[in-house]
Amino acid sequence: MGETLGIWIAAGLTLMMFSFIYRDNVLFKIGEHLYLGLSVGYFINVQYWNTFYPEVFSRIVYDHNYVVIVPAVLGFFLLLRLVPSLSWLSRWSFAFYIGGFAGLAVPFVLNGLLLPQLTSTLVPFQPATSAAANLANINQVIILVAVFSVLIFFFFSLEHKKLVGSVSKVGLFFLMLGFGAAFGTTVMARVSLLVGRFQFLIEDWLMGRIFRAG
Amino acid sequence: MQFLRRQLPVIIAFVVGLSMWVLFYVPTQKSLELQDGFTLWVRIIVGFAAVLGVLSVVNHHYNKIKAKRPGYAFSFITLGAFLLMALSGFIKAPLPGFAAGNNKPDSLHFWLYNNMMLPMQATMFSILAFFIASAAFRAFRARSMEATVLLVAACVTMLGRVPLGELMKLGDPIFLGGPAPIDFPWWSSWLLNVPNSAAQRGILLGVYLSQIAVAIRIIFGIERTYMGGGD
Amino acid sequence: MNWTKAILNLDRRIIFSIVALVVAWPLISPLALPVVATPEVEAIFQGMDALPAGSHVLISADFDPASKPELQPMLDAVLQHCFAKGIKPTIMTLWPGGPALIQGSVERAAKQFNKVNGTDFVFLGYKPGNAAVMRGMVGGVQNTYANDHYNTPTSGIPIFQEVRKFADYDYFIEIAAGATVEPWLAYAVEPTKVPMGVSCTAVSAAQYYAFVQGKQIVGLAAGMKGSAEYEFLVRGSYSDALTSAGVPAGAATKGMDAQSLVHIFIVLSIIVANLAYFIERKRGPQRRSA
Repeated sequence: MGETLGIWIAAGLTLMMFSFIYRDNVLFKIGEHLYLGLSVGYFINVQYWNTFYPEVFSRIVYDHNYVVIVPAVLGFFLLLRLVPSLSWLSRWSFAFYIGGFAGLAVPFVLNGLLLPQLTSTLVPFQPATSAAANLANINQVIILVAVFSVLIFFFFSLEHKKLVGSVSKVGLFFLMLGFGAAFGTTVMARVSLLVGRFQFLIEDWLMGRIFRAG
Repeated sequence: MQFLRRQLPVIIAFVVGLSMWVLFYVPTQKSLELQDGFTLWVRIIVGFAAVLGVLSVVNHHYNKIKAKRPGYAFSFITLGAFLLMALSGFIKAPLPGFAAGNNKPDSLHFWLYNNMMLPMQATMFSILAFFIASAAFRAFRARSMEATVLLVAACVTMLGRVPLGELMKLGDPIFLGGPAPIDFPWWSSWLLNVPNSAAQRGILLGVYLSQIAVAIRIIFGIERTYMGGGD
Repeated sequence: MNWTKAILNLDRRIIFSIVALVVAWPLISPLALPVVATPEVEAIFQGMDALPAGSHVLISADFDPASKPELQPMLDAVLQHCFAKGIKPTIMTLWPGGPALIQGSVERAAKQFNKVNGTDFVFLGYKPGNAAVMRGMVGGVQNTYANDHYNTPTSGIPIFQEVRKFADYDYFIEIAAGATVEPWLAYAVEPTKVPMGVSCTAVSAAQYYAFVQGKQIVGLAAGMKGSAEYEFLVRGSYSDALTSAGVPAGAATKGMDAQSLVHIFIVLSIIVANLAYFIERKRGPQRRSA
């Protein structure tokens, strides 16, 4: 019974949200506010049971690890952002974790992302022993030209005229190919989400609950 | 007081930031323990940051009701749903027809998640499919060379990445071991793996350089926007 | 009004209706179009398949209901692959909206394959702080997760006698709805060199091909299509195990017919709209206004 009722409610709410396609209306507004309230209620639970309870409460009460009181106080300072006269205290908390992340980012982004991406742009050619190897070598040249020209396109310290202008035009061509591919995959993503909702409406609700019952 | 409000945060960011940076180059057990300690502290602080977001939403809707601003009736729905969802996870006693707790599949908390929150969130994002289809029809024009390249790349990707497009192949290979002129899976795969990945890399290299630059600016107190305005 | 003007001024609700029909039709009457695996998805599958039984895989399922149709089938298929092969997965999430959704997948797969929590798999649940959690996992799983999702202390979970830190895992699968791929790469994967396979929403896929090309990740499963390919590969290799476990046909595979038709419709509509646009433009401003 709970499951059937749940599917009917889920189907009703799905249709309520879909009503926005026609135009913004009161049913959508109800759904929107209901969703906001539920998700905020869910998040507070997730934060409590996954952060506050195991990381702060358990460590203090069961493990007698009182050091965690310091980050808990810093965390509490963040909430003071809502109290204008004391909101400056939240700066200490932001400084702690933003400063710390900045410190982590410098070596890790450099070694884990920037350098590997740079080095894989310029790699040795493969011996031209097969058609596949030849194709890979041609692709490697295209990648090198494309990365260089895209970097020139975003390099504004030189005026984009003459040679620099021509190279930056090549960069723009590759950017358009990249953006086109990205648009294609974006369409793909949005359609998948719609397919998912229609799968629920048709398979679980219409076929699973209405026509099956008949 | 000015020191506590403006200078101390910069000093904290400098000390913590520089420590984390230097510790990367110190491969000792103590260094790893210090990094572990930092990550625990950050998890706790960030947990509170999420609570800050929740409080802001609740505060906004409470004030809206209090001031009877237009549409305040909807705020009752938000606050009611918030209380229902929050309490269903916090109350440890079984409710009629449901198991107790926040992580049992037959609990009220789960029921609300699966049958209300999930379908609404999923639908909200799926609506975009209609608008992206409409936008493609209305605004996607081959007005210039650049727009044409973008349009062709998008269409090849769309056709090459679905089963029906994978069936569309026509013509002989244009070179030995290469694709046919119409072979959407091959062309879309090449497009994504070669020109696209190179273009993305060009953008990413810029992004990573600026991430490092901003991080250094934060550590040395040049970038202070995280402190917000005021004294 | 001629046809070109009619096309260019088409009411958007007509387009919406056609999209809805094109999605609904193959779900009611499936076309059963064949799914073929791309090399990028095949590489993730082969990376996992090469592991011996008893190996440990970390799965970070960083998504929520907003990307359920794209990524949950991948999580399901990866779990089926692990359980059919006797690999022990550790599942975690960095997305606050995801735990209940992921718990559903984990418990469903464990029930189908009769797997025991703590011995054959473990679900750690959610932790906030992205990079902090990633660095924490490199330092030690139990330091980062004192308890699992069900509040069982991780110190007493048998799997953690075998794996203690990120580097102990034989394979890492990141299922990402947002910007967690790069931090995982920077803070955990590159320093430890654990092989990483990525499943992501199609929206962010274009960007991650740079990591495939740079060989920083083993492979890439993009969106619902990528998930369908993984489902296809698992079913192809473990058909008996999946049948005896009573695993139904994958949701992503079932969605591919509708996905195909909508893509064809959008491409056709772009071509037709452009044709109409150019014909109108050729007619010149006077005839257009006439």
